[in-house]
Amino acid sequence: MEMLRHRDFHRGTHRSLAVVTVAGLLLAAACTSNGNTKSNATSTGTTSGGAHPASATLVVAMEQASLRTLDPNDAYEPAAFIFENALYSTLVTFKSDNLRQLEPRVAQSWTVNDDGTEYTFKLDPKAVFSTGDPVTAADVVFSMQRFINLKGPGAFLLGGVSSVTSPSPDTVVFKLSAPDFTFPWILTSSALGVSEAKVVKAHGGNDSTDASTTDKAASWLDGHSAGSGPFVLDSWTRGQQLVLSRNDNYWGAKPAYSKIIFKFVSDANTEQQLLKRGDAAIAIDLTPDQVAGLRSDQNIGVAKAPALNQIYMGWSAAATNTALAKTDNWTAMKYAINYKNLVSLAQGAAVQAGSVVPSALEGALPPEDGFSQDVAKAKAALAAAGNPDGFSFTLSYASDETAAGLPMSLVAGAIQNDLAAVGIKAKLDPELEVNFLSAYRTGKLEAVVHGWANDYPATSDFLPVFVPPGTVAVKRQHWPASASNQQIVDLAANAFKTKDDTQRASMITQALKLVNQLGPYAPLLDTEYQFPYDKSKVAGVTANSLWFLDLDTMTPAS
Amino acid sequence: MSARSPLDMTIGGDSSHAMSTGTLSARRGYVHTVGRTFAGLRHQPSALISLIVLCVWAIVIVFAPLLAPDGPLTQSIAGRLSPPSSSHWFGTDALGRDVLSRVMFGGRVSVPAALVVVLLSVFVGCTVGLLTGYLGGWLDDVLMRITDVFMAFPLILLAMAISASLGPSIRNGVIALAFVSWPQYARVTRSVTLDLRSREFVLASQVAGQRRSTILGRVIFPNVFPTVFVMASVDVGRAIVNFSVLSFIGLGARPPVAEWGSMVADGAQVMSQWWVSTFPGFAIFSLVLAFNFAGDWLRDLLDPYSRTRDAA
Repeated sequence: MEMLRHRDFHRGTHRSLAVVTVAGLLLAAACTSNGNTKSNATSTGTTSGGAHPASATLVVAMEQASLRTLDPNDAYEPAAFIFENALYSTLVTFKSDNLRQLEPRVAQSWTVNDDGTEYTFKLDPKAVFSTGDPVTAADVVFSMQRFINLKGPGAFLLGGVSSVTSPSPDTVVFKLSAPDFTFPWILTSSALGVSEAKVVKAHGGNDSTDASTTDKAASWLDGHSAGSGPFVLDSWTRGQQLVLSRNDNYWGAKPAYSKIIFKFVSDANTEQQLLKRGDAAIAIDLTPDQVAGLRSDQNIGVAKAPALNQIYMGWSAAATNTALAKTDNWTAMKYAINYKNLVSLAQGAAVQAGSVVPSALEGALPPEDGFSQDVAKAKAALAAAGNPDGFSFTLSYASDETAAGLPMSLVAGAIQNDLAAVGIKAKLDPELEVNFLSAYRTGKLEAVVHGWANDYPATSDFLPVFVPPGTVAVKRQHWPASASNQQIVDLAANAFKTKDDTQRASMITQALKLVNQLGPYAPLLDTEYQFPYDKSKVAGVTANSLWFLDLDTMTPAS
Repeated sequence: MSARSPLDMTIGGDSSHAMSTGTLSARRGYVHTVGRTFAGLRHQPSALISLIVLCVWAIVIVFAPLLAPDGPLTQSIAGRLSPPSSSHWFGTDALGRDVLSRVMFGGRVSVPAALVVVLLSVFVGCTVGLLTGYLGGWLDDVLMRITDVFMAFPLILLAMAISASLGPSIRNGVIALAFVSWPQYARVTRSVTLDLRSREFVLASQVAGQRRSTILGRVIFPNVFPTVFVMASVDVGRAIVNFSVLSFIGLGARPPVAEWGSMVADGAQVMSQWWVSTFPGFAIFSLVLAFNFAGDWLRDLLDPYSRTRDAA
């Protein structure tokens, strides 16, 4: 599935805001005329150095995200994930440096039956909520059922789950409606944290089937937390800041910071200024160009992780545009694009995509397996299609969409130029992301440049949607199952029903190679998150593909 | 952009008397007047400079394909975001396109667009103003209430709404801006026409049995024209700004067309690379300022009151 990246959405829609910010920055620059005055950091609450680690405070600058709610069973905005993950422990988790390895969290172990339809999780007896009460199987069942019944934007995550039960206080059983041997990866999503049933119920929450209308706990959960994560919610002032405090009852390794303050700002330029001036120790939303500009600064480190937001060009396989419907012309487009240029545009925020699945994930193709520009081949394909002089089509993209900070407008601009070099005329059609997505989802667009962001870090979040009968393949690209792609359809359908890891990975690989060859996609970029931080203030910064930063492992710089 | 500037009010309302006589006298001493005004430029450095700037821009815009060092769309990703240097005087943008070339070609979009906006709104505004001012009655009531409605809205907001609903493109941006700027011309034309309607030479034409269309077109319009012309010359600058604003928010020119407003918007994404937005911004600034000063000078040329003041 796919998320509307609200923090990015903000950027292009209010360009006028940028103007106001320009003016503001000029003023700010005038006020601090002596440049990098890092000393004024104390006024905003940043404690310099590690003199008092027991009461250390960290300031993170973040774009003014449209953070809708912090309700752990409802929030599904990327901006919410960083907070949800810190406040509520999930059953299992992962580290971004190894996206093939599940890690235990509330569940200390798990087993699956032979046909991949029933998962049994054993809970860690040490796990306790911030109230000090133990995390029980009943809490897990309550959280999952409340998540399903609130019918929030993330509810599709558990769409394949037919029941969640607790046969004993430390055991949770998930029954699936169809076999899926990669299911536990879904449970790493920050949207599936475990909340304390007793507390949520006391504030109006319930997990009944009509919870979406009767549940009244959201307003309390926006100001308090009821989880077993390393932090508790101190306060949230919408549009201004959010403060997390250390959970003193935390059952894992206690975080070094007693307080983490997230300052919401209006755009990335302001974040960059806050970081430069020392008013923030970490910035979340800088563009790749801004990060590149900071590299010369000795004090700035950059934490990286696969962003798992795959940028691709896709076109309608059944376009009314007859030239665009010819597969030889697809080949021409795949070979006309200068992929190396795209990588250098990304300034370190991406490598070339080997396929439509990010290369860090199971079975995915490495960057070398992607296409490389071959103008002669592209022209030959055009000739074979009977369009030696090229053809025209409309290339749509969301003007306010970015993937790991890289704007789609840049990618589309570069591609248009490459296509023009072989005679293919792409008419650029920038739209606001909301309009773009509604047109794309209903299959109204001829061709797109778009990023597919992950919901959870597994191939099953990518491959099935890009091959028939997946939504992107069928609804958006008009590429239904047919004799020509039957092999891909079968491979993709059976891969996740395969228990053996090696065999599954090789099926995925085989399917992706065929998709590259036959599919209406040119995989472009495999993006990387880059979070610059002030090395004089903070150490141990690890980036995460889903929730940006692991907040519990960061320590004040010594 | 919410209302007419005080300058327009003066031109439109108070000086209408002067206009009619001014035109009559200007006809008599045309050569003399023009000669004196151009000679007077020496004493009006702002007018002189603005005319030079306008001439330079005219040359740049007409001969952009010959003068520009590079094509407006030519990319060089390897040399992206390079600062101003001898090879790229204005630096390069995020796709490695030469900013100088794009600024030069950008004028070929913004300036014609602004001129068309002004021409369209003058045409519509004058027609409505002449008809309502001369004929009066219910037509006057209806059309003037419509202009009231238009003028009650912040113009750029209305233009944004129209442009967004028609779909963003240069043509629709021009239509949107013309749509919101004709009422001020209608207002001014109407007030001048109202005044002229009872003047002797108009009454004489009526008595002579001339047709209404002849009176409006041949007798009244020539006397309205100088007022509207001065107003329009200042308005071109404003139309350039408004069109750039539409493009800046993505409702005017479409990428990859080089257009100043959208170039400034591109530059706002890469603020550390100041040259990407500064130069197109400066292009807008210089041209708008030049149109404003040139408008002032034109008013002096066509308005007998201020000319007398100069002479004295």
